[in-house]
Amino acid sequence: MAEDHNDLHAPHAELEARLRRLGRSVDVPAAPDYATRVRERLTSGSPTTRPAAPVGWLRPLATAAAVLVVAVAVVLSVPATREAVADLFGFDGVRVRSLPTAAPSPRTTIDANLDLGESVTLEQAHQQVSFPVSVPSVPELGAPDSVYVRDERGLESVSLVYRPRAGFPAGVDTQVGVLVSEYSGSAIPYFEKLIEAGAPMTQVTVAGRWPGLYFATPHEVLVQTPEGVVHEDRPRLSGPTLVWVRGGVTYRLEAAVDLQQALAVASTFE
Amino acid sequence: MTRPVVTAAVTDSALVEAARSGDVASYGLLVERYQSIAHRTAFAMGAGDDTADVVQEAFVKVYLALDRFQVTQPFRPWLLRIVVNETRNRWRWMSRHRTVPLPLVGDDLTAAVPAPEQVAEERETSRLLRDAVVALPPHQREVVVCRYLLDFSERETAQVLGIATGTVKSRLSRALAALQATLRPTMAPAAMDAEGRRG
Repeated sequence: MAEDHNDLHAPHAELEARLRRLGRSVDVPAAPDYATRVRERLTSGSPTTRPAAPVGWLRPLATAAAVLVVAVAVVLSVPATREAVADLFGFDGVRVRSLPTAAPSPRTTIDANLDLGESVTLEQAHQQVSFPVSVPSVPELGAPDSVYVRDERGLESVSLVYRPRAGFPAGVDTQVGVLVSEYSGSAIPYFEKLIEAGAPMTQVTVAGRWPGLYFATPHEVLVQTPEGVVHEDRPRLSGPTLVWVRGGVTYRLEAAVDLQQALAVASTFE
Repeated sequence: MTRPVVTAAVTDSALVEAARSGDVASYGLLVERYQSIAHRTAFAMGAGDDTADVVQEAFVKVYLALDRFQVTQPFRPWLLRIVVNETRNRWRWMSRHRTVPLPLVGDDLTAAVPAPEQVAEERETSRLLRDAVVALPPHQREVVVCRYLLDFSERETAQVLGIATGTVKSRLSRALAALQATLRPTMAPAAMDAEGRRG
């Protein structure tokens, strides 16, 4: 290097000193009160405290660039909250869209109206999708009455339909007791946004380890495929919804059951 | 602007722990503690007019990423690294040919206010040096800005830029050699003319 001939004393001592002086003479514009701004950002539309545990799985993902370019559709009933979402995530590369509440069509009585894809056997489903299909093992639930697969623009999904049975009554407008949807992708970026926005829901952990959200009302789910494509899937039933993510698969359980029961079912998936 | 006084006895890691468990107020204290250096860093790294947005976004991202922070490590370089990354991201969204804005105090005064010769000379040297820093290849400019203009230690420079200290050393060495020429205008007139940035 050209500096090899330099003497043993700091060869650029004067230059270094000048650079430090230069740093002090940079005309930095006045800083706003970030502390107040950030506090407002973090608390707008949500309680002043961070969502309670378990959320440890969320934040590591939050800084991933992928998370920030995900398009979001959020069903929110409170305008203030909707604005909070837009405020929090409405920066470059992120589009936040509010949707009218996507309630399923009333009096949906047969699977066809649920628009779940191609009817297959459970065996065929295992073979047709690239991710491992999981099935709840709850004695009262037994085996699914029908199974559907779908591959829409790279998003693979499997749906398990259970007719109403003891402990799993029909929803107000369907002949379905439990509907399970499984998607090849992660919904975590979407969870992150909902949580930060303070949307009405409960954060849960399924089987002691998998992050999930429970909604008392129907909810669409946004899934990001490994290729980064974001898909949304509308709710099919009008009951409570539990969404969780295990590995690279997102699960949605729609059933007219309470949180505890939904969690009990979810924890048996294998 | 009055702000609550941050008690030195409360460590960064204690505030991080509290923020992780849901205490936004504790996170606010961390922001207060570092907002000045974060602002300065983003601006010096080239955030320009976007500095306030960049820093605010960075603080939100830091909050969302708190679980990734190892409390045994210093918080400041970890935070500043996110600030720098946010600055770089913002940079990518804009024209790649835009020059890093690095205005100096007194930049706009020189013409109007006559200064003693020595002061004027000093200012002129500063300006030449600033222009030379801005004209450095980005990797070299970043280490010079962190190490000298922001006066970070070599270690912190490495942490903030996400590179090895050896890399900091080698980039600095190359950058200083290039900058040295601007301090010896009489010895390198050709280089200065080539710069053509005196206006």
